[in-house]
Amino acid sequence: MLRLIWKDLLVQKKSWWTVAVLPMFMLIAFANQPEAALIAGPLAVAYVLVIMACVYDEKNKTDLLWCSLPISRKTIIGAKYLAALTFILLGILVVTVYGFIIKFFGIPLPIEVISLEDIFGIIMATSLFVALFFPLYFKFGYAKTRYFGILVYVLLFMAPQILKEGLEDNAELAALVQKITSGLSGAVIALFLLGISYFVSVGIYQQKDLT
Amino acid sequence: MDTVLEVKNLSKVYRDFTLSNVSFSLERGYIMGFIGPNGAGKSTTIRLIMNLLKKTSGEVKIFGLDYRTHEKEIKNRLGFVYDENIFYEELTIQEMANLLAPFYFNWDEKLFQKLLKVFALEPRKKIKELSRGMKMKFSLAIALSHHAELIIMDEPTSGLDPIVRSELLDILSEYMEDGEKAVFLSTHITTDLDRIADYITFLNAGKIVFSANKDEILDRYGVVKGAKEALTPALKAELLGTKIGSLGFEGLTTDRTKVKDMVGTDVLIERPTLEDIMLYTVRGEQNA
Repeated sequence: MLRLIWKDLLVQKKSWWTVAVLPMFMLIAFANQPEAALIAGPLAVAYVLVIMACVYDEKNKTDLLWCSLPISRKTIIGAKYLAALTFILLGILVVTVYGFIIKFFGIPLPIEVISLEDIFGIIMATSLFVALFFPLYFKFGYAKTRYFGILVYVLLFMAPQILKEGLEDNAELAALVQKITSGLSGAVIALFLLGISYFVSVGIYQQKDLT
Repeated sequence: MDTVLEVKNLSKVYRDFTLSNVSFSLERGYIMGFIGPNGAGKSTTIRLIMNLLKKTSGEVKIFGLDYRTHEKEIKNRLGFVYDENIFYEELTIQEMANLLAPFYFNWDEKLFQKLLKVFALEPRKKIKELSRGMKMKFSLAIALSHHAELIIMDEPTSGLDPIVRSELLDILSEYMEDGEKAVFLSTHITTDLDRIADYITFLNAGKIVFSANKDEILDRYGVVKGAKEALTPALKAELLGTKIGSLGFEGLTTDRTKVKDMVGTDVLIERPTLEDIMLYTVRGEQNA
């Protein structure tokens, strides 16, 4: 399992620089929205790493390789989800380090060290992306789902604003949505959806004809 | 006899193609050539055996075990070589091997390093820098390094020059020396099999034409040639893929003795090559 997670990182060693650069870019680009910047950075890291791992798998037809080895399809799917979680943690780690660097050196950016609330937000946003993207990827492959992936990614960025505007006239509902989707409960719900998504992906992949 | 691969009534139905009731078996110590024209269903059969495709019906047993319920155990003892690249082109040979090795319980790194030297493969070379022949050798090195008891190969020689093809056949002959291994090899280049195969399974349009000992087949079948006048209706009915030209006719018989008894010395009956058998049979079915 660990080997499969490591391989998702190893195959894209050329893109490792993005793990360092993307969060920094987001922190600067969203400097006037510090909270968004702290979430956008890790989300971008996880998105790029998840997508690129899928791109390399599809380009090299490695489905045929992994499914010809003594590994169950369930393990292959499980490793993909765990790799995505690893990428989220990697993004969080990088942003945390940047937060400390900014604070320590007094760099003039209005960025705070990442809070627990931010971490829950990152886990929620990224898990939702993975939960929606992976079942479709395992069913149809990357070429057919890449635009869906981009759409979900963009929607996740815009979701807070859309929800805010959509629920403008219903303060009670807005408060409820805010309560459910923020903090620990939001992250737990997203992880629960990730779990459901895993079982859906396993079901799809177990039946898939690999050509 | 120890059967390492047993396929019984294996079928796979697609919208535009059906692999129909494929059956054959391979015993330890032998090489089976799996022949047929492009589109006959060879790769489909191999992918079904490897459980990459889901069968419509039928049974596959490898080392006497059901291929799905004992998949992990079977694949630990099985090597594979496909007709296309399935490795990460961005990685080096050594990086790729390092990823694969932990999945095999009897991976032999010393043997792998030895094979890299024998096959003249540079461990630090990226997969994308390898020629088709080198990629095939790399696949083979992986298969041999975990002491696979059965190697399944899908068109390993297609696109290779005669020298590399010959090298591959030498490697396989050496691999078979202890009599404990088996190879199932699909190809449409039948001359490769003339040299190394013990058994031939011939697939055409999704159906098995025959699965038998190569020498028995070559002894039994015959290419019949003669003047046009010698081609009686009775003889014509015995022949497959008959071609009639200005100088005479030629066709394939599945029973040389029978034709000999029928026509005596009026016609010439030659021992066929596997290619002859494939060509005449396919032509015969197309004309039918």
